[in-house]
Amino acid sequence: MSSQKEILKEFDPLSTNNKDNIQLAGYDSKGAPDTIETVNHLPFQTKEVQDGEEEEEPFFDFQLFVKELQDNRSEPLVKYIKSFLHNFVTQKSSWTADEQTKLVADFRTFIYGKLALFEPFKSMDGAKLHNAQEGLEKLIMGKLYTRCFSPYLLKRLGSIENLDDGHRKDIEDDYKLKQKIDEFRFIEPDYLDISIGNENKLMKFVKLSGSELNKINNFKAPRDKVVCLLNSCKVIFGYLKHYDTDKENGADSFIPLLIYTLLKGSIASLISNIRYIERFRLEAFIRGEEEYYISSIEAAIGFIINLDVRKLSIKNYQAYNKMYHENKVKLTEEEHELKRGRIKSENDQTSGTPNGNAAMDLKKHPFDEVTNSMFSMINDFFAAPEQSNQPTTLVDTRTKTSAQVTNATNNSTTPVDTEDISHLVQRMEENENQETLDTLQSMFPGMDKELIEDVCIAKKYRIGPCVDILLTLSD
Amino acid sequence: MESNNGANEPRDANDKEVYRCRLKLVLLGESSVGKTSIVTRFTTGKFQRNNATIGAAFLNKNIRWVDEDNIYEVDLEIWDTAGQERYRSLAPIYYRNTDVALIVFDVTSSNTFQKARSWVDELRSYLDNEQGKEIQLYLIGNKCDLEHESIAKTAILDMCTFKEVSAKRDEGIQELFEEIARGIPTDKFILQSPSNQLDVTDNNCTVMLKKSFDDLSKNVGCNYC
Repeated sequence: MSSQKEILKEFDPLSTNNKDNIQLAGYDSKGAPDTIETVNHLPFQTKEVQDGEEEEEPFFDFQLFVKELQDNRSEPLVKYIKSFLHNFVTQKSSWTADEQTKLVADFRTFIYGKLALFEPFKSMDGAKLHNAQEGLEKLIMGKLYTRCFSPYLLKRLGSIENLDDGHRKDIEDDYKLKQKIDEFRFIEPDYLDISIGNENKLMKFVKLSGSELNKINNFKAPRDKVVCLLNSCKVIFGYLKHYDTDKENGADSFIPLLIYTLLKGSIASLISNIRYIERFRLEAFIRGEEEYYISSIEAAIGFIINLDVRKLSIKNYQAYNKMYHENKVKLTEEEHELKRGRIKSENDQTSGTPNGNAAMDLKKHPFDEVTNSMFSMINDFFAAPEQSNQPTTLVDTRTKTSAQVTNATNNSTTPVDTEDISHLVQRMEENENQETLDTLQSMFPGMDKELIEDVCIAKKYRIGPCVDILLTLSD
Repeated sequence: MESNNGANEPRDANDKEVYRCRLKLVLLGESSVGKTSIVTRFTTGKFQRNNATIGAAFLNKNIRWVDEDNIYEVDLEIWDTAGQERYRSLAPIYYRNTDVALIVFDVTSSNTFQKARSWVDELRSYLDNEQGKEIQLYLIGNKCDLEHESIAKTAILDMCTFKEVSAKRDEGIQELFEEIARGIPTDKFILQSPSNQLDVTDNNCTVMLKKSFDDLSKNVGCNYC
């Protein structure tokens, strides 16, 4: 069809630190775009490229946004945000899901309107303005995450009875989905009419796709969660493209594999995550491809929630029944073991077996560290001396003295901040890269380790492009 | 709102105004009828560099034409669905808010035609229940390069536009999508203003929504509006 470069584009959350790639093709003010084709597009959409020029994906750069927000001229914006966050967390102990959605949506409209009034945002357009809008969404939702994401809210309020209807339904539906997945986790690809091109590879890709999707729980920003979801879908298409070549690879092949991934992946709190995205991601951002793949996940969830034996194609009922009952017995045993507290959630995570506690036991992920420290940077920045109303709930470990704060307000960034954060980002990136390398090595066991590493370096450890190149090489 | 550099202005020779429209199209039909082939044929044609998509289940393409006064651009989103019977119940998730439905069958298989008929029925009853919604229905007979009997004129053909195409030989495909794009009522197009990327930065819109936020923020006790 078309070359691998064109098929897989990267949506890596790590791109926040990737300064080299903020080439905003088509929006560069010096080299004005030679057409108006791309102006109204959002980054995830396909664009027609003129004159055979390579289009660079406009990467989201949160650090850039943070720097822009520290510009003296945008101080009123900071005040607005601070005031909103403060009121959100102090006015009421918990808002209903609908109230939260409306508050965030209305504030966002308000603050996006204000971007047009204050530099450096005032003179931005196209992708730069989009970056600022994404940045604002990430900033706000990062701050409000523990109050808006249902599993965290449950933790905060202690009991499901304390939740409002909307949030309670998220938790209940997550539980329902988990029950169904447990009941049918044993099924084999052909029960869903998945053609097994290469069973060994299929399992590896399904596992990778599931673990990519599971990363959805490691991020707070709606956009970052969407990126995990898209990466997961991309891995599925990577398999289809290379091992299931006799088919068209449209939805006929994709949907069954997506369902299979959900059944095998034991993704924690998936429904809560999807609802969170729908509530707090700006609707205009969920357009086109994002919208399609979110809808597909919803479709797959709907299929599993309503799954019963009639929805499967079963050639041998006896064998099916045997597996079904063996699984039931195993489930009961696992439940007992859980109750006795013998299952260590850590082991479950690594061995890939379903983890009953995963939903409630959201592991702290290294990515959170960076996000948190960025937020705390902003926090400190918010906590300017003349402000009397400090949001008490937003206190962080990295609180600075007021002298430093003043410094931060006056300069665009303090050297300390930059150094701290870039160090942290670097450490995290190294961990993450090692993880990617390990995964890829297990997917391509026959391949030279150094070669895999070279591909990773060349592709900046973005899993999508790496998988694609390795597939091409292994052919 | 000021426009700060000329980059985004319409710059065509005659300074024509650009009208844009986003169009959602959903593909329905039994698996193996060639739904995906039709769109991949369309999106990877000679004049299209189809890039940056995650996979063939979602594709998009710009269709653009110029008339005496204006430039028109349609941003066509193509949503594929799984055609197997067992996944049929998932289709409503895909066809909500769609503008166009292509219901595809294989002209050499009467079974797939029957399936197509039932899709038409389902969409009709969906539209009956959803007041104010409008979906253009196209019934597409694929594989017309193969020998086949002509489709009996039935009631369903009155409800939708019928076309025969061949994805394999690239017959009738470009014409089909062009017809779809040009069939969009002009009132669905929006004049492209130079410097706004999102509706929310539009001044009128901001004023309107700001009011609602003002109301709400009274509840929050917020004092900065």
